[in-house]
Amino acid sequence: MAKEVFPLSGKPEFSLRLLLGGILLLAAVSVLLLLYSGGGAGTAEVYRDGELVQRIDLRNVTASYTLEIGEGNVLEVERGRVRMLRADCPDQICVHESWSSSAGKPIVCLPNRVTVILSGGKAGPDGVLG
Amino acid sequence: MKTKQLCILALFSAIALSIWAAEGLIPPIVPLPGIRLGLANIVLLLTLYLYGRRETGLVLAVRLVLGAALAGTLMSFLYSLSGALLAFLVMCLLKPRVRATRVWTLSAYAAVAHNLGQLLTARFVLGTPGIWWYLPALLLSGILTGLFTGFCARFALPLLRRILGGSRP
Repeated sequence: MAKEVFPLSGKPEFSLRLLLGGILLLAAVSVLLLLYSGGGAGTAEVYRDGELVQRIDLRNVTASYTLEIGEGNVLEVERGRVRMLRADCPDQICVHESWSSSAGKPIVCLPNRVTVILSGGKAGPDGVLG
Repeated sequence: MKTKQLCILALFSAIALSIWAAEGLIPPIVPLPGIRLGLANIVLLLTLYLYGRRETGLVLAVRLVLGAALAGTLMSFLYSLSGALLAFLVMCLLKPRVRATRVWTLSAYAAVAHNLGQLLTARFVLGTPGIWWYLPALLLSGILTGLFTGFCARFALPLLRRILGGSRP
């Protein structure tokens, strides 16, 4: 039974560790790729409960301003980057995420179901996200 | 269930709950949603190898329900429930294939499953596919934190076996 589930080698424990090493390597490489290949962000899309509430063109921002998302969140917008300035949740993770300026990197506020997703400069909003 | 075992399982549940609550007070080291050390999982691993799956499920259920009642919101309960259930499933699946001295392998898989469960829930709650961006970071952190808690359990197991020697079912 064990061998059928993990057919990499005769010993299931060895296969498990091999697979684990593989996932580790893959994840580490992907993290580095995501961090350094994003490119600059062109637009920011603000979602609340899965619905698009606002689309901001980050290239045309001249002066920084703040944007209220629902009751709980305040987003700060600058040319080419955004950050969550305030959130009313206890964990404050989205605030600690700080500035996001590379395409693809989201800012997520789990308790308030708010997502801010950045996409690339040239392609349309659908060009970057799978 | 014998009285002594019941006492020890209750004690384990209390320890798991306290560790979980204490960990929640520490500010996040990596500012990404879902990344957590998961120290309470050490207790679950110990229960799994000292007693069995049924007992582990009980400790986990007590930890989840009391944790949500004491410190959580409905949202946080949903996330911890989906993560914990998937991790528990993986633990049960791998337990017969992983020796006690290699418990860190199992722990890493359980942590990865936990993070995957949370990300899946987040995907459906938030409704934005863009959060798959976090997947590699969550996989990586799952393996690293899982290995850490697994090593803790691996070194605590022989000591606890000696102390609880007479209580094995």
